[in-house]
Amino acid sequence: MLAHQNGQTMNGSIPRIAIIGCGAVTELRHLPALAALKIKPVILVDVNLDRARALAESHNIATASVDYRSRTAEFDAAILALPHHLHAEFCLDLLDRGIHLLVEKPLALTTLECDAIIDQARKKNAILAVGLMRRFLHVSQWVKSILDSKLLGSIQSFDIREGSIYSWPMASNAFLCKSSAGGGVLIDTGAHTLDLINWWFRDVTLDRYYDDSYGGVEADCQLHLKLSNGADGFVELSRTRRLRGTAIINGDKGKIEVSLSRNQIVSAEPKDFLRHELGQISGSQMPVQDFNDLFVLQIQDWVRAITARQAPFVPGAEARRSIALIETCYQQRRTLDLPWLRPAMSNAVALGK
Amino acid sequence: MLRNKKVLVTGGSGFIGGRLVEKLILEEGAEVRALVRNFSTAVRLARFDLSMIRGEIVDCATVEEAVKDCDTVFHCAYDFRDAEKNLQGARVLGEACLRAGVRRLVHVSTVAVYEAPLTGDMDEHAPAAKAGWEYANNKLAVEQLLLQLHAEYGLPLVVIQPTIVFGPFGGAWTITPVKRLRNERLVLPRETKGLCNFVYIDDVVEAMILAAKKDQAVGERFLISGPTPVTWTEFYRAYERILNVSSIVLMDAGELEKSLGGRGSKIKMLRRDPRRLLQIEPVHNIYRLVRDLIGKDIRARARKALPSPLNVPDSQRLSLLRAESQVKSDKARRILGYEPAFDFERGMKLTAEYIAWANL
Repeated sequence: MLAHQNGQTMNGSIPRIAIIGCGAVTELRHLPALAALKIKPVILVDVNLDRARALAESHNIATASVDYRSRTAEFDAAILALPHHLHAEFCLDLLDRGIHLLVEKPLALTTLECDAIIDQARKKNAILAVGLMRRFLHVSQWVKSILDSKLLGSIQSFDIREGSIYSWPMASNAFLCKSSAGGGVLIDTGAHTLDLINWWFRDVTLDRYYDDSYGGVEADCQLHLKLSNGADGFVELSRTRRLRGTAIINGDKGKIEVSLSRNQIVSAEPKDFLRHELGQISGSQMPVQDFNDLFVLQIQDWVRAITARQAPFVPGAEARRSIALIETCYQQRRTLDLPWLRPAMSNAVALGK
Repeated sequence: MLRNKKVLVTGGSGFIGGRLVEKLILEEGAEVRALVRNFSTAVRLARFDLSMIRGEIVDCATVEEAVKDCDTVFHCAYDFRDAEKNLQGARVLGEACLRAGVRRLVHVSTVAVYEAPLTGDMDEHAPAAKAGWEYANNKLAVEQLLLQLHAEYGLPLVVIQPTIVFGPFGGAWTITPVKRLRNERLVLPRETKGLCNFVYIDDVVEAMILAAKKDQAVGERFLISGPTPVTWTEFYRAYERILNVSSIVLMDAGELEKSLGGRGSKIKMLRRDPRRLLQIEPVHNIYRLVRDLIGKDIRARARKALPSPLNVPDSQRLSLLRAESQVKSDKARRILGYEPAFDFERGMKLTAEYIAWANL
């Protein structure tokens, strides 16, 4: 199953939804998306009760609480948007209570945790979806289709660069602490980027990984990857620089460059690729989708999976693949040599490729 | 001397503070604590295993908590939008340091607190900046307030006054010139030999660390400049070479001066660069309306077809560009043992690597 389109109605009754964690992503993404779907959460939960109450009040939601444990009878499903290090503990507890989950990425910090969560969901027959919403972008699905249909021929190389000067609003420094975030740009932005890479190419392994962490969380990193046919892949992620935000994929029959976060095909050689169609969408005419549209599609897909008892578009097992790659990166990390950081010691190894 | 010592840095997410934190941790082995106004701007700080305290410099309780048990405090924070807050913040920090018994407070000021002579050498005996430039006046007021706390209550203060600081992540003298040279034609006076008293960021930070270590430095102000100045034209030409652009326009200094005066000369400047009309608010509003009505592609084509706008220095920048005085760091050499390690070429080489990496 590839495309999940807007505008489809959902079968069965809508589950009663809780949101656990009331940070910026809940306020800016999940609540507006639920409102667009005309679904009102039944309860907002946050360790900061004032924050939960304020959001509940502004969205006309009846209940705000610091804890969900005594109230699980009031909801069937939960969106989990907590600091990364809490994902495993909360997922396991909620799944144990039979609650369906949509977990913000990353699913967990390690593959061990992912395995436990996936296993628990299976045992409890609960739907587990992960917030890797870029898979809902038409352009991501178009690339997947181009690659699956072998239009590019044998892949020779890919080059992906994604970065911007960080500006996501933060109420706490949980995102900046290694113990709570699990890492920096790799586990944050990289969870999306590496998910797309795994989804598109299927057989990616790590060759080398570099980042600029000195005991904290990395702001910049570089991954040198390999495909099973020996093709090289390069990924650069940054929280301090504007990078081009595209994926360039070279095959022996052509080359494409696409945006990673919006429906834009920057270039296609030969141009015939633009005629490649996916459902009703062609490369030359791709409708605009903003982030809110993607969150709407993601929640819609999750709710449909719950009501129809089907697998969601991005289940836990898929999210585990990018966590496995991230885990390998951190295990094999080398220091990114920035010549100006230690000018006396730097051997000025070339930056980038 | 700073190894394993608790050190507070304010303004650690900025240019000078950010580099200071790197050197304190990587080279000095200090235990750094950072007072952070907004976590979103702290991603470079977060690369290190340090403690971050969120809060405003004017919040007494937060600052009290931040300086607690600190051996040394480096005050780099400065808010360009709020002069009163800078003054109030310096008072709060200075008083908190006194109460906490901090061994040393190193405050980052600027060469702009002095009225630079047009020619000759300049040192810490130069007269104070005249009223008129808010940044210089505010920095001077902050310095004076802290020096008063030193004189009256024994605040163990050292003031560092860097000149034109450039280097990786630098705003005013790296990122801004690069953006200007990429997008505009930068006007410089043709015939002057105005000197750019540059200093590479690492030399400034080294001077700050020395200031934290030398007891003889307490109560003193130190001008921190690089080894030998270059002309302003050389300074901007170096960026031109890095970017591989040709954006500098040399103009007669007299003509430039006139353009800052009477109406006739302004019309002349407008005829040379009609885009300056957009600096007039009602014209700008109409432009924005029209701009929003036409498509992005047409706008991009129009931009390519038109020459880049001229960036003409205002009177303050023109004085800076024409000043031929050379800032001397002899006092810092004598008392701090400061010796700049980065000449212009070496500093620019590292800056060039940063510019390429940062896609500026």
